[in-house]
Amino acid sequence: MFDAFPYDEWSEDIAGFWTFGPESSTGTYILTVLGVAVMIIAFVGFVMLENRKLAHQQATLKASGALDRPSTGA
Amino acid sequence: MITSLVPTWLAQVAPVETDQVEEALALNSNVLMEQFYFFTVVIMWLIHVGFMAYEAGASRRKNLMSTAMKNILTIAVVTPTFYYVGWYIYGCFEPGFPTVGPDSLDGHDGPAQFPGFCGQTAPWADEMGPTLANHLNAVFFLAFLLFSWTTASIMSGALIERVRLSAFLILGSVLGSVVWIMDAAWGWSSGGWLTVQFGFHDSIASLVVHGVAGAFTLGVLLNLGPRIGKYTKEGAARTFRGHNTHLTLMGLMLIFTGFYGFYAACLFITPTTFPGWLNIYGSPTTLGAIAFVITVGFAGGFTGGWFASKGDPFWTLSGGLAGVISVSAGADVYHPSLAYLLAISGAMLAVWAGNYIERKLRIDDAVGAVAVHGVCGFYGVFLVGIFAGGYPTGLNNVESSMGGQLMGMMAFLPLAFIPGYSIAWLLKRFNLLRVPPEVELEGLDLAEFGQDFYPEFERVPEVIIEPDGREVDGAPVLLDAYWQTNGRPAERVGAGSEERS
Repeated sequence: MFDAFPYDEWSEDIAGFWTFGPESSTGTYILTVLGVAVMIIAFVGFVMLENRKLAHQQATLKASGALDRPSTGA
Repeated sequence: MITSLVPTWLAQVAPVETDQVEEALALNSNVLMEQFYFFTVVIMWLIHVGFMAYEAGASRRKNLMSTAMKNILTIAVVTPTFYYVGWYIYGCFEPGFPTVGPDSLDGHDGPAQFPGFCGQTAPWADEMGPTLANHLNAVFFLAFLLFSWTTASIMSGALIERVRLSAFLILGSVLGSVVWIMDAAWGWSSGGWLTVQFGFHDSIASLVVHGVAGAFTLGVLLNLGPRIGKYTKEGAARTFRGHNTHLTLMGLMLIFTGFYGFYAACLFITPTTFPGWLNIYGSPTTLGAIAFVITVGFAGGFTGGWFASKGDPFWTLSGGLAGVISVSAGADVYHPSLAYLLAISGAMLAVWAGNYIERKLRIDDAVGAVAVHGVCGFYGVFLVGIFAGGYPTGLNNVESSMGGQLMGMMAFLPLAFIPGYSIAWLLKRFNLLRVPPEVELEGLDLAEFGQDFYPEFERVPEVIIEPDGREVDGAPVLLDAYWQTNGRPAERVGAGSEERS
């Protein structure tokens, strides 16, 4: 169909590079496992980083006494 | 220059075989479909721009960036979870929950054993990479991914100003990449068990996106509790003013614009396979029909919201959203006049439900998400049972009915509520659901980001509206509430025991 452009032939040549091999191959499995691992690590990181920030700010605010109940009636 | 190209051009327009013409037509058809879905994805990004603006405007100044960051990082977490988990659920769970074993016929033994759509949805499948042989899967995946962002974002606004960012990201990932896509597999696909057995009809996702997100959010809110100072000691609701109502209203208008992309992405078009547009169940419809209903739905929703709230700007625009959600389930079959009337009723229901949830149930839903999305989502599929009963749905052409609609509602309510409640309860047990009360009082932005995001404007005292309408200085009210709750603001105050003053 595309007499002036070898699209079909080039497509076959390039497909293997784009997908790191055929489906269900070692390359695609490794990429999937790496991606899932990083995703899980990111979740743990979101929780830990925020927890650290919040705990620090909470301690700072408590130490400042700004939120303490006045000892005499307000 | 041009004349030198003529021989090449003539060679290409020389007589060709019929099968070559058909091949070219098929390619053009596929590329057209690919472009269509691509641009629906682009338009649907506006929904997320809108959600971010809407929620940021509704937050107090001290919580501006922490609110916006939830919407931004929704994209960061729902995208990979949906890629690795969600799409496989949609492809492989149409028959229901897994049944593993030698007699399993439904594909749950793994994609390699199931050569159809299920087999194309695993992350290591050819169709999930940049294959040249398939124009549909990647853009179809992206359209569903945008639905997933939307579903997670629906919950986002309800939790603002006290939920931990990380807790929201975990909850949003479960909602966006597991819960909603499971119900989509069951009742929003041509082969879902609710579709083929009961004729469940929810063509533009009243329940499968909005209602489910609302039910999940309700489960989370019951554990999260109200913002400090939201309720008086007697249990009457105060109003916290958002810091920028214009931003909120602009955000809602952006969401509405993005909804046209959402609606369009709910349809199929492949001219060489089907002679016209199909809805998600494979039943014929037209793009014009659903665009008609969505537009009339907005008109009816704004009208209903305006009158039900006596002209409140927030509820007028939220009424537009409620109106559209109420008619989405039957958007492919409703007459515009019917859609107009139903949208008015849906918006009025949302205003009533929002006030009831806030004032009677004393659940602090900061943007009315449970009422607008949850209540109206369920209302929308209920309406199909009344007004579109008998309409053939799905590949088996099972007639939609009130029984089928109720079956879907009964299946999706626990599917959404139980995970939302359970995961929020677990996070609460580990003290990972809510920010410390001291941080909540001061504002989340200083703790999370170390700065105020309007540095050029002087900070002014926070104003709170008491239940009787008086505007008061917020600081003493919030401090008193903080002392009263003894650092446990998640406890609800007198829920169900007091009438609003």
